[in-house]
Amino acid sequence: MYNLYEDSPGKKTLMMGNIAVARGAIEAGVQVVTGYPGTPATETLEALSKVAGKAGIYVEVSTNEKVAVEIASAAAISNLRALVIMKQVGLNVASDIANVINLSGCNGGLVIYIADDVGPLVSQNEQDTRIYSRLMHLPCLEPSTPQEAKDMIKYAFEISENYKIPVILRSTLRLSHMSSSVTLGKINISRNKPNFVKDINRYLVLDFIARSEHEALHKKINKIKADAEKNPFNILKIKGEKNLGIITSGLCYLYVEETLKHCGLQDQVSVLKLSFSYPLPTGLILKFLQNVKYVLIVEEVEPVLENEIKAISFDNNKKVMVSKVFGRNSGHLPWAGEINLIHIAKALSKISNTELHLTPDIYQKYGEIEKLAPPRYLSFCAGCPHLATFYAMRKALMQQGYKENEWVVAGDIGCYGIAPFSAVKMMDTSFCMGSSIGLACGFKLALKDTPVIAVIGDSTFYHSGISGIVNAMWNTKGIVIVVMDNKTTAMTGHQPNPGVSIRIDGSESKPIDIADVIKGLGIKFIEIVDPYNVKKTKDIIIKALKYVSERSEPAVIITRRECAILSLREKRKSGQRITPFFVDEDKCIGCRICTQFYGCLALGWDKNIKKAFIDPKSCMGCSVCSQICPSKAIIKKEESN
Amino acid sequence: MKTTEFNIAIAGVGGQGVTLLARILGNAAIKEGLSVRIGEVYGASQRGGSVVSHIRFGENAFSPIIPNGRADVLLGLEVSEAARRIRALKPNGLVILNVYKIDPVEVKTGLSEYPSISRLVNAFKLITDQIITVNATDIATDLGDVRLSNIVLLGVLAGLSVLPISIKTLRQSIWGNVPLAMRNLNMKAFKIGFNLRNP
Repeated sequence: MYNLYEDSPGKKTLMMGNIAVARGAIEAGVQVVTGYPGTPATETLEALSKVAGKAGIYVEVSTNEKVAVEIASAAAISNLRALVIMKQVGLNVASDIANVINLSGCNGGLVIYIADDVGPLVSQNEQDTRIYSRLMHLPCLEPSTPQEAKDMIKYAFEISENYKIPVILRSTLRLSHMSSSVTLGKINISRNKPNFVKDINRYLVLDFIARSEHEALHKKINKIKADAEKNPFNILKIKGEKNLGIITSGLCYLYVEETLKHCGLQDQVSVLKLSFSYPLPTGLILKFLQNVKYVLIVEEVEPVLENEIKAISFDNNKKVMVSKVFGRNSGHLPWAGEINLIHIAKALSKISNTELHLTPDIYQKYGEIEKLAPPRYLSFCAGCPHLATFYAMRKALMQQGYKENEWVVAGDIGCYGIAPFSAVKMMDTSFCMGSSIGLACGFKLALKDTPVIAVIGDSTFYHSGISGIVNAMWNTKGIVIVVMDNKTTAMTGHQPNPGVSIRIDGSESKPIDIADVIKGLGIKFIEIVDPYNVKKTKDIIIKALKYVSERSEPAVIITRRECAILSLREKRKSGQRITPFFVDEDKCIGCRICTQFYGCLALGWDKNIKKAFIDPKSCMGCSVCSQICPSKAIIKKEESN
Repeated sequence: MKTTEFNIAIAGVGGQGVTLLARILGNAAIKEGLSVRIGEVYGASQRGGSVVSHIRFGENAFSPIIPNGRADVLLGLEVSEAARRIRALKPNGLVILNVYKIDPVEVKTGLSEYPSISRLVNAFKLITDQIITVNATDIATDLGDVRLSNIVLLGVLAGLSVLPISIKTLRQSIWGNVPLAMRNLNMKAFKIGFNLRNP
């Protein structure tokens, strides 16, 4: 056990990659931390927020990643050390500012920590941040272990301040969530003094200034190549007959080492691990290419190193020994999804024309066991208000006579995104943060009389929903907008958003009411309802559907009910008991409406007596199933006193 | 001689304490100077999803993920989850199984079938003979908290003398990683599990 802010240099602790980054930032003397929750980067932001007061660091959850980078940029321009935290798609949102702050550069160090979800395992895409670093000409570092992640932050701040350029620290999910032993370092207690020196030739990035700054940026990157060459985290190992070599970066280095070990090739295959993945250390790469005939490049997600190294060897073809570069372009590695050891072993097998076995040849037997396990996707927690809202929504649409293929529900990113896989089966689209509104507008435009409902969470509303709603009002689209306000950013672990009064560092703030914002846009139909009241919610949705159909103007419904998990935690803390509901077997007719069309986690079906039952330990007492039951068979347990 | 590689895959449903076991084992390893890698994906825990943790001891374990067919032990806190993660286990590896099932929503709504526990246990025999079944959830419930089932299983594993960490360090790690109020109960749960194979 350890305390993130403890002053025990040399102590070995078990740390997750993300926590190691947080610790690295503290050791580097970070002063301002901004970001937005997103798997797989969230833990870094949370960990820093917990020690913010003690460590004298400013930490906030920004409205979205663009604002986060803007705040950090100004802090860094004003000479403070700033860190921004986000997942890969956050950079899409932040790219507008990131691709201009690169031109002005910063004064205090600015490090942007981006964790790429490779797979993807929990995101709407898998994208390679290293391509952004090339678009923006921002140096990019790739740690391979939690220890490196921690140590590289300090290094990143130094590069950033030496060259006055923001630096990207790039991780991938399995590194961010991997735990291993990390040796703590000393905490830097010195702090940069804030100072803003006016310079419109630097910070007023207009076209003519951008032109000269762009040229200067390239000169900077050229200078940084020297640092890339002597980066202490690069590893070069020339082995064996100098036949085959692997160039790799990030977590893939561990996969490579493991594969070589298990195939017995660690003394025959040379390895180059690149920690500076932009700009590339050309000299080091050439040294490697002069010592191998064939090279396999193992990286995630795109053939970034692969394409550049091919170009490097082409330009230097007289100087190098390498005759072929293998990777994704050559068909040796998959174009999508994570890399694993079997991919690497198969690639080596194909290249060297030898049989390499990593795993025992009993795939079929494994498959026979695996297929017995029923699917277990993410499900709504017992008592989730979103489940209740979707149930009411479906009932409302059906009551108005619409069939399944006669409505469109445009969804968004958050816990409510589980809806299509739940018993209520609602939601037709989900793209990126805030897209529910814009897409709903587009569907309405295209499909005219089809009822279109946009579903968005409270955090997502603040993040990027407002622009879409302004458009719906001003460019008038008759869509129903349901803002699912559970007073938290639940999916990523209950971080706060501008609708709540306590910020992530524990300080208080005045919450911004979603209804007030919408009122300010001039939208006339705004209703707030408790989704635990199924009939009321259904009736309001019907009212809204009629309104938008008559007026061709947006209608907003805010379904407001605290996240069930937060509610449970509060009750546990205050000692308040939850009175579970139970199924009266005499009244239950076994219609299965509750289990098949609502499917709350607490509900079960007893095959033997053919009746529904409720697990009293899981039941949150929300009462929704009791409202749904056509035979009034679900009742609240009498308070035992 | 220090262990060069020992792999444990822990499978369960979100909320059963899979990641806590990983943390306990990982911290114990570091205390004894044993190299450790833990591979996990955080996020499914809260919402009743499928959770697996890979714990790898030894200097030959580089990757955080156990390569297929190389886990020495598969600890199953829930039967179908152990089946789902069977590919991690080496042929004739050790399975320690909590004979407890949690129906996923897909089964509750009638979309899927949950095979009988005996059918699942028999299926494991395709890969290994070393299967130890434990009524860990029952034991935990008797102790007063169903969440202790993971520690019961850890006790069983410890009792088999296959772990490359000392029991003393393991017990200290449990002590240091559970809430104060639950410490004694956790130690009790561990002891019961331990004694199941060492009466």
